[in-house]
Order: sequence, then C-alpha cells, then structure tokens
Amino acid sequence: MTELKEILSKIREIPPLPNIALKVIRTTSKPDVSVRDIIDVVRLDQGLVGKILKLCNSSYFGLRRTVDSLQSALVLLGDTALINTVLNSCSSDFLQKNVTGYDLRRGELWRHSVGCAFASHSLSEKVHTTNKDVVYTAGLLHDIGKIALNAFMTEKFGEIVKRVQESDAEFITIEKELLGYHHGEIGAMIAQNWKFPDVIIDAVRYHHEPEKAEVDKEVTFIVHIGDILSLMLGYGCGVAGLHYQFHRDAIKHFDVSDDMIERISADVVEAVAKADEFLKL
Amino acid sequence: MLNDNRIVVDVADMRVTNDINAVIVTYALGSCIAVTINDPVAKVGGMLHYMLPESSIDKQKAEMRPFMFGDTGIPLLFKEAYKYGAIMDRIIVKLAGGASIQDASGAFNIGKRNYLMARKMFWKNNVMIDGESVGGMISRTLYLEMATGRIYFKSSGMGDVEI
Repeated sequence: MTELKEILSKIREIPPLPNIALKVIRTTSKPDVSVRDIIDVVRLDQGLVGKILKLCNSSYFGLRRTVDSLQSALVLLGDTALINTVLNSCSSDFLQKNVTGYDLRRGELWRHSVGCAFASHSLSEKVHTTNKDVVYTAGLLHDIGKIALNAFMTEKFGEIVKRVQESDAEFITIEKELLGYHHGEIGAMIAQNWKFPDVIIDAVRYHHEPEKAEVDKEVTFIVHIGDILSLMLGYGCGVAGLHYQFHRDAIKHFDVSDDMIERISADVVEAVAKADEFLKL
Repeated sequence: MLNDNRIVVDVADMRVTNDINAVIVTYALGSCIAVTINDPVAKVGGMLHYMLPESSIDKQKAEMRPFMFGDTGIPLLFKEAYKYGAIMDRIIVKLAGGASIQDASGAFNIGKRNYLMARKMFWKNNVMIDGESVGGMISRTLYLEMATGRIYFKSSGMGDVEI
C-alpha cells in the first residue's frame, strides 16, 4: 500500500493552479458575490483576460460582434456564461493533461470535468438549489485527485486492469485497496491545500459517496449526479469504465425525472464539444 | 499495412462512406449506442453514434441534431447508405455500447433504453442484428474497417474484440 507521506509529497510536486485561478475560484465561491467582483479579480491578470477575450471571439460562442473587453463580454454573454468561461479558462491547462494512470489521454479529463460541471450547474438550476454558485466549480474540480494519484496508478496499472476486469467492485474501492486512498480523498487534500471553501472540499471528497457529505449535501448530490452523467456519455471513463455506483439518495432528494436527466444530457454534449476550443488555446 | 483514412464519428453524429481505405471510428461509447452498417458488395459502410433513445424528449433538438436520438438517427443512417448504392438485403448490422453504471434505483438506465430502442426499430422493420457487444460497465471505442468489413472494439486494458 502506498504511504500517505509519498502521496503528500506528490501533491506538493504537482504544479498548482496559478494564483489568479485560486483567487478567482475563492471569489466565485463566496456567497453574494457579484460578477463585478469577479471581473475586478480577473482584470489583475492580463494573460487571463487575453485568453477569455480570445475565447469570446472564437467559434466557442459564435458571436457576431467583436469582444474587446471584459465589460463587453459581460453584456454579450451574461453573468453565468462569463463566470463559467472564467472558471474554465483558469483550470483548462491544469485539467487537460494526459493522465495515463487512469488511461485518460490528453483532453479526456478536461472533457469529463466540463461535462460534470455543466450538468451539475444545469441540474442545480432546474431543481432550484441554494448553493448554485459553487456547483460549477465543484463539478469542474471534482477529479483533481486523479492528477496527484496518476504516478501511483501508472505503477500499478496492470493490477488495476486485472481488478476492474475480474470484479464488480467500485473503482474507488480498487483505488483504496491498492493505494490506501481514493481520488476523492486525495482531491480534497489538494483542495484544502489550495484553501478552497469547505463546501468544495467536501464535494470533491465525497462525490462518489455523497451520503457522507458533511457541509452541503445538496452540492455533493448534484456533483455526484453530474459526474455519473458525464461518465455515462463516455467522457473520461478510462480504465475505470463505468465501475462506479450511483447513489439513489441523490435522485430521491431532488425528485429528478428521467426526462430531466435526458434533457440535461443533450445539452452536456454540446457544452463539451465547445470545450474542445480550450484545447486549441 | 492498410492506408488508414480515419473517419471519426462524434457523439450524436453519423457518417457513411464508400472509401475502401477508410476506417470509421467512434470513441468512448458509454451508455450511448453505435450502429454500424456495411454492404460488402456495394462497399458502403456507415456508423451512427446516438446518445438518447427517443426524440420526443426535445423536438427542437431532434430537428437540429437528429443523430442524437435512436428513433430519428437509425432511419437516416440507412437512407444515407442507400444513396451510395447499399441494398437492404445485403446490409450487415452490428451494435455496440449501451453500458451502465451500478445503479440499483434504475434512474440511470439510459444504456438499456438506448439498446431497447435499437432492438425495437430493427424488429419493426424486419432487420436482423448480425452481431452486438452491449451492456456491462465498460467504455468501448468502435471500429469499422471498410477494406475487410471487420467490426471490432477496444476497451481500456483489452485487446481488439471482434463483433
């Protein structure tokens, strides 16, 4: 079994999100934050502003007018789309890496994360949850633990494949048996290191065991559903395939219908197709 | 070594070709279904990757993206192949995908419903399914090799699996 010490040193080795990204994520997670507060933070980083404007003028949005400032981006896109674009821009470099230990080629974890974030946000709007602002971020970052565990998983890849093929065990159980920890637990340690709000740390930790959530069960339930939806659409399955369990409490809690799940799925595919634009930036 | 002209079918997409050197591929089928058709005489092949069973869920979307749904996508796949000279009696039909998550509540049984939609449509139209690899908990990348008519899938940690 892998020592926690080794894993913690790996966490320290992974290049952190840039400071500006951490600042943006912490700001967007605050209750009652306004889009103006976010623009004020983004403005501090010309590189990020450039990236966002480039994206606004790409086929990603297909806008007819040229966007030359964050202000005009806000007018043309509206609050939610702008905030989500800012969050995507902050995390795309980090999430688009090749994660070989999970058999995820470059861009696959990114597509999966955007699929989860989009599905989570869309579901939270449909079921009217109170903590809507953080679900997109939590959905986007729910699998950061996989990046830290990548090296350990690569070492044990043969054994992982064998266990996935020979048993019906849930993938987080296999991770725990082989490494001592699963990617949710390690992801939560990273999120803690980065001083993310407790609600995001909690959703990252428990996205596969949502009934254990301690801070905001609704956020964790939503990210759990978003994650499963994104996997079912084939985004980021990798070596785990669909060896994950769906926790029925999540569906029961919100009384989500089949129709609603299908409608959200249809929109997720379009959001993920657009997210490929980030891979070209 | 064959000249591999790769034709990629995205999610909610369909492609038909008569290029003998082409390999039609769709990546990472989770609960979605891919239908492949192949007329070995006319040398016409095609693949559809649909993600939801019924278009009634969103009529507007079905009009814009008919390949998203089984009930609107499957007929269009055959129609397109006929344009290239394929004939129904010769067409070989194979299916893959329709995987599921571990779900006791049945709320996420889209994979199964996707599969049942294909079965229903083929049964209604007297079309035989010549081969399939559906269900389970794996993600499949599906290939149709035009030169040989070979249809196979790959999944993480597995070699090629013929269908």
